Amino acid sequence: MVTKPVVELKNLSKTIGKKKIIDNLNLALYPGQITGFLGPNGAGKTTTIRMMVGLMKPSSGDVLIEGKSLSEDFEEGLSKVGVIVENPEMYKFMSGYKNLEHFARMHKGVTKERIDEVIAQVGMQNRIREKVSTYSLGMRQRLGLAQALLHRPKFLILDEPTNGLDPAGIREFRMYLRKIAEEDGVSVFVSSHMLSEIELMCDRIAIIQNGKLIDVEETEDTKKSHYYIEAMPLVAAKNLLVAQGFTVESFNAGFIINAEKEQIPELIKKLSVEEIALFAVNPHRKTLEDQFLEMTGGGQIAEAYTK
Amino acid sequence: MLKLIQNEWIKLWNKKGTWIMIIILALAIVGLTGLSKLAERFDDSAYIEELQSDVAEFDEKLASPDLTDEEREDLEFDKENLEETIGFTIEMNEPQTREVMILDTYGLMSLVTLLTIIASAGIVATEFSQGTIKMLLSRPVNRWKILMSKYATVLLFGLLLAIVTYVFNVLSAFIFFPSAEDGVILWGKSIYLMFLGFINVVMISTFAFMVGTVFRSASLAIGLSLFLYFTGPLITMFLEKFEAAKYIFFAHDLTQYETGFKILETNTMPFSIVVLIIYAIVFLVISFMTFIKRDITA
Repeated sequence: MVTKPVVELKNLSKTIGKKKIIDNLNLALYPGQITGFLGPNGAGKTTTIRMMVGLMKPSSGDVLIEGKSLSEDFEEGLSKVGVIVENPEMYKFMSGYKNLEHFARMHKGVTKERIDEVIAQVGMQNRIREKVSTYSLGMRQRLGLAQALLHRPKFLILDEPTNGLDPAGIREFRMYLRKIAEEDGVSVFVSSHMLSEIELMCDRIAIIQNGKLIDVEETEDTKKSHYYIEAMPLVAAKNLLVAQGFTVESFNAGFIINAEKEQIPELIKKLSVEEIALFAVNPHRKTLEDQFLEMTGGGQIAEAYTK
Repeated sequence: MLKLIQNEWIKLWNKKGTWIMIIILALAIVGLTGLSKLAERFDDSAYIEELQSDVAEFDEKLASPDLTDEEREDLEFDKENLEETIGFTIEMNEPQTREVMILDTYGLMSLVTLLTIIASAGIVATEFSQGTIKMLLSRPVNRWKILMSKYATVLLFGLLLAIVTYVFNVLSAFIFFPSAEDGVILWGKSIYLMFLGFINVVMISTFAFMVGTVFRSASLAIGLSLFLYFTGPLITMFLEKFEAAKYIFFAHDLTQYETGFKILETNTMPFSIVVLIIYAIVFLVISFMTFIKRDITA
């Protein structure tokens, strides 16, 4: 990709006591892209995010935001970042509006009009003058999103953003993220446990385990190219396909092959000629869940290796 | 920076507790002056006469020739004590004047201290306990600025309370008490005493601020600060014999140099000022270091 990354993590490491929580993490995030951040519990997602927004200091390595190092120019670097870290804790004794005003004062150039605009975007007009202590979790999430968007960030970091939102809210939220990514070129970084959610939302997925980045991939290629085939006799079909140069993988009563859509009619013709009975040829979507579990080797919590 | 202070100020006043504190302060001041007015109704002159007749009795006893030296000494000691009590009671029995009330306003600074400690202890600690600290620190503002704005807010709050105290006390002095004949109100001196008392408020609030920042617990900070505030003079008294006692924080209440009731005879005003400045710097350095370095994991 030719475009310059908005955010770069360079050899980011964090050691707490003798434990390496984050180990030499390198990652670049690009404008207009929504990147999902996945990992089992305790893998270091939240620690990474906290280092990206200055809540924790890296033991070594650096975070660059539009080329500006956070350790050198914190104010300049962070002025382009909007954040929700886990549940957005607002000042409960103040109204939603006063909370937004409070955070607006900490950024340069956020006008009253901008505050009203953001309130409308997250659909909070009716309750914004009430105290935050009367809000439901979903409303607090909306307010959290509003405060993250106030200063039109170039980079948006969201930790578990859909927690507590209703289905309509989640959908709206997803559409909104798409919109700001595409129209304003905002780079979005979403950490979540909801795999299906990430799958629907993200262009790209980064997977972390035991503090190490184990994979970064585009979601697009997981969607296209797999087909599920059920046939009789199975072995003959399999041999034929292997001879054709497809990679074959057993699955349920049949197998899965890597194939492009255009190859399928030809393939069916061939199998029919060989008098192999076909029961099913379906495009197969390997779900993110399958992939995730495959890559992280199940959901066990990262072992604390203390040496 | 001004915007940050504005933020802290708004947060402070959006808490119910702050308003309750101000109301309590105003009521306490008016109440206390009212009480001392009420006390004037009780006439102690009968009691004073009684004490004076006791003195006469002592004189009679002392006049008798067959006393040993030891007995005479004992009697004279008791008589002196009694005379002191009489002098004190007579002084107390005289009606309070407006002038004295106003001059003594600084005595109410202990109320200001109490309330400022509460605000100071909580201003950082509650951000941690409510989890809002992560929202506050993930902003394009360096951490020292945020802590500085909080410290400035505490000082402003203390100053406001001191002004409220002064105004209310002067008002109630005018309402409740008559002016003494040929009485002159020493405005300058009363304000100067308030200022010296305010330095004390600043010191103990800075201490509470430090404890609240380092341990992130408002209750610990309030408890510890109040405990030391009340027991401090006592501790100093116990340690009086030691040379190091003169460096103790509590031996340096600056009002002592104006009122004459010195805590330690050897200390002087310039020395106290230097010691207090050093304490303040130490408290602030500890607060800022821990706040800037801390990893926010809450």
